[in-house]
Amino acid sequence: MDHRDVRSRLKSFICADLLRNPDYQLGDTEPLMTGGLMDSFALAQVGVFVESAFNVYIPDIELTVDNMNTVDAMVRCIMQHSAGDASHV
Amino acid sequence: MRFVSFEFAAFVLLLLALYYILPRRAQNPLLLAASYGFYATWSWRTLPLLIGLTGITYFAGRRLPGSNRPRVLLLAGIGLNLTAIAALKYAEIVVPGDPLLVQPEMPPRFDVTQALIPIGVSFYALGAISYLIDVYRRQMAPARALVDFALYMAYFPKLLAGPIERARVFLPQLRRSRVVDNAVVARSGMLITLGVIRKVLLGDQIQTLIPVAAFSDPSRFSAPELAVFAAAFLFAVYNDFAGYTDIVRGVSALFGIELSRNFNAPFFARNVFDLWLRWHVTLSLWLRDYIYMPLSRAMLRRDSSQRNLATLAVPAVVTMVASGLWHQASPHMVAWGLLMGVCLFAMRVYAVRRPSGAQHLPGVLRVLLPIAVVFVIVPFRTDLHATWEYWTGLVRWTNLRLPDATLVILMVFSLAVDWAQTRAEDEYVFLRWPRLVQSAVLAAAVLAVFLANGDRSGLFIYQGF
Repeated sequence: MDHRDVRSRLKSFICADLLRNPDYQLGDTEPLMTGGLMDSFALAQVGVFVESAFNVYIPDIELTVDNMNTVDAMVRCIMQHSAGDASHV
Repeated sequence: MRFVSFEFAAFVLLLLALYYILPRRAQNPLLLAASYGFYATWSWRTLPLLIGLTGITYFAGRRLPGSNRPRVLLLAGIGLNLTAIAALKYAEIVVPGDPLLVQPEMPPRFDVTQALIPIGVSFYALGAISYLIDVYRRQMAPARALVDFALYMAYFPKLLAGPIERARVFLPQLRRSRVVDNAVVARSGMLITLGVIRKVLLGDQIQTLIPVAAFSDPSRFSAPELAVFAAAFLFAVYNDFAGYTDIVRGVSALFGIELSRNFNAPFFARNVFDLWLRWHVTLSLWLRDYIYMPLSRAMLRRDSSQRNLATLAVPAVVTMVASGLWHQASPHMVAWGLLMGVCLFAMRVYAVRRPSGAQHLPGVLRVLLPIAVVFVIVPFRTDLHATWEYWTGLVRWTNLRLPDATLVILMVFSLAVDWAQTRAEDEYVFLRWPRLVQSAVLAAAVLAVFLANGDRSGLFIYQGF
């Protein structure tokens, strides 16, 4: 799994499905949770999207502000969990 | 042994002396023995329940990874802990009383040291459940040392009313060496001082100024009085619980163990979601991680469309009703949970329609939010019949008698403390004040606490849960 592909698809999902503004220029380090763009439900949506798009399960307790506040942090978290842990889903 | 008392201060000082005399390996057993001793002063008859749940949860956790039927083991462990919580709630029904009627000048609803009430079980049982789930999901290894796990369950600063710590955060602290330097002592001192001020000068005083009859016979009061009393009740609960949390975090830090922050200026929340990330944070995160998130994800897997109202409503409502039941097994707490769930659902629908606008509510909603919170808090405090009377009283503006202005002054003072911390983005902001100012404030606070009968301060409200 290529982290550039993960980043690109993640950004598209966030802008189109969560922010509902596909043209939004989302920065890699833009704060999503603390900046008020996403809430807990949106994090659940990201969790489910990551399961279906990348076959990676991120545990609920890791869907936190620390791990998911920016696109950079999300990509890091996804890559860490990408080593075939889809069996948890 | 009450937290705001000379006995507790002496207990902590003696324990600190022993703690730092003993070698490192003896410190955890000492803290465990002291925690059980502390608990016995509150509820010695139910100490075996705490020890029993600790043992069962520990051995269940040890067996989970290699078990042939881990799900059965997990459900049995969760069931036992939930039964213990339910026992407390049942006891509340058997021993009728109002857990929110704990006032400094009033006797508590019953003598908790004599009744068979497993005080604190609502908090330590949630810690046990999260531990079992995390081990089951392989998000942490089971605890090795029984003493460490028992201390996780029984650690005296958090035993009676939280914060609800997670084992995977707490246990590693017990294995590390503890560093308590001057900076830690200064921060602890500030937290304890601020906690006592919040409890004795704000929480207790506000609670004393709210007539008990306001929530039992609201028809005797005018709409402005009822509006201020409901808001004041929120401030009383907040300062009481935030004060308790500050004190126990300060005490714990002296032993080199960090406890989680439970409140973060909730009255400066931008919306309802934000409110729950600032109010009783450790419970909110527990509910989020173990109820809201799994439920949301399960429903989203079936239908990821945001147009499905059930997906937006069910997780919020179920989570908040569970929160209500956790507080008390009563119809009015269920009603409070339902209403709070509906508020979260409404906020979510708004966020779906205006994804980037939810954090910056327009003026009308910014005015409506505190009004809604004032309405919703009423069933948290009183039964359904009185709640209805209270609500009708709130909208009947025929009598305009005003409440005691002292209430408003105390609420403004409470907001000023939060504002100072929020503006600086630093809960320890008061340590940046000049030493002379710090000393003067400390002296004034000590004097005020004594004048307010600090040593005879009441129980903390959340000990009733």
